Amino acid sequence: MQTTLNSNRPGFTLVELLVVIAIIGILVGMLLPAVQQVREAARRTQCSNRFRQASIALQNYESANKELPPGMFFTSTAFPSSCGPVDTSFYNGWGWAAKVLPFVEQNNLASSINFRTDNYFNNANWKATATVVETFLCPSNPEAGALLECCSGKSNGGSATQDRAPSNMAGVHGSNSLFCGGVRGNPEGNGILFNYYSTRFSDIQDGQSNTLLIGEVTEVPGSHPSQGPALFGNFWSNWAVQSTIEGVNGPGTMPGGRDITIDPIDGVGENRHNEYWREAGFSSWHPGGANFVLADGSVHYISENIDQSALDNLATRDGGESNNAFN
Amino acid sequence: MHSIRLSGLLVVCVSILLSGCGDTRPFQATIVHGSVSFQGTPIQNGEIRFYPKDGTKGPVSGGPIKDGRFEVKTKGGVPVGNHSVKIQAFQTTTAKQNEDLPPEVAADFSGDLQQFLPQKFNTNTELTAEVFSSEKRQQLDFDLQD
Repeated sequence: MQTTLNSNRPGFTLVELLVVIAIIGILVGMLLPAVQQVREAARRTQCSNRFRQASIALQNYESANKELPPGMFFTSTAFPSSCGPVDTSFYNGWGWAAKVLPFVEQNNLASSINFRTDNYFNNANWKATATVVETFLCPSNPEAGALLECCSGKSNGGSATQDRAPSNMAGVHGSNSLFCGGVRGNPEGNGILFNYYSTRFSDIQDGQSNTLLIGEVTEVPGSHPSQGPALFGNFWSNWAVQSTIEGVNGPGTMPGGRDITIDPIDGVGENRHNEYWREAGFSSWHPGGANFVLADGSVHYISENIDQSALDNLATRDGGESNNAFN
Repeated sequence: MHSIRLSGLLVVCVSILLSGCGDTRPFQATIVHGSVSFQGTPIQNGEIRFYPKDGTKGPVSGGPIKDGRFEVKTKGGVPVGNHSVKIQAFQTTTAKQNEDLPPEVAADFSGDLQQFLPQKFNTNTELTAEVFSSEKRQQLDFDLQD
């Protein structure tokens, strides 16, 4: 046993060591959020690229068909006549994203859909609606790609009416209500992509550079009437339109402050997906705002603190107001 | 002696870190809470929204109404100033309106909620409210009469 303990030996005291560790800890603590911010910025960029892709797909669709697809396609005898002349026969058809599949390199998926004879949830069509299309997703979303309406993303757990692939993009219906006579699917949207009717770019009197085409949306957790816990949100096959009436990251959205512990219809009604629709709006998991693409194909990041009137002006296609938000 | 200097450095570092935390919203807001009833009956299930008007700056704010009460606290609450208020209340309907659906689909649509308040409280609202900055929490009660 050698006695090498020597008070004159150069070395570190415990205090010095602890101080060094503390300083390194602080430096790492300062660095980590910065790294996370850069990663989030990269995800946001990828998301905005996909918005641009989707807007180019819509522009190509408009060139080929001389009009845009309807934002969604739903008719019901429940609509009051004041909502405009809609078919009296029930038809639950396809949304804008389903119509532009051939323009986002999804020809095989598009050809597996029977657009003419079946509702989107019937037979082979349901398999298509449960197919995740990356182009319509934003990678910042913690639930990105999880199936909606049933079983928190467990695939194909329920009947053919459940499990739909999500979309983080919703057409901008306008600034007015999504509901007409209490029924979702107001065919008189004052934006570009709304229920039943098609618009053309020539209808956009406010200018393509001043009018929102598609905005970002997120999912919320809830409970399916018969299947238990589930995610609810927008799916690309249909229904993916929203109004600016709820703002950006509005009170009914996540992460806009939706209190998922409050379920006002527990016990009665129990139709959680309808509740999602009544409260939802545009939202994202990026900090402080959400991606939107204008009809001219330019992607903009809109703050969740934007004045409501400015947001509504951007949503209308022929409101006659002059927007200078992006000029 | 060294450790005193070092701990001083620590305090400086921590205060620099904390200085980044602050409210950066471009508008002032107040937490608003209260009760909502229609014809004297508390609204069990609904939504309340505050839309800035008359030059008030800020986004839409609001929250759910449950058991006749609401509280708006996200994003700091309701922006200070004048607002038009929209209130919706929902009740369950039967599946009759969708009777032409296939049965497995009708199950999903059953129990649709219908909004039952008159349009003068929501779509064409006449309700207004003023939110002040002086109070920490402001109480606003809405006793709606048709």
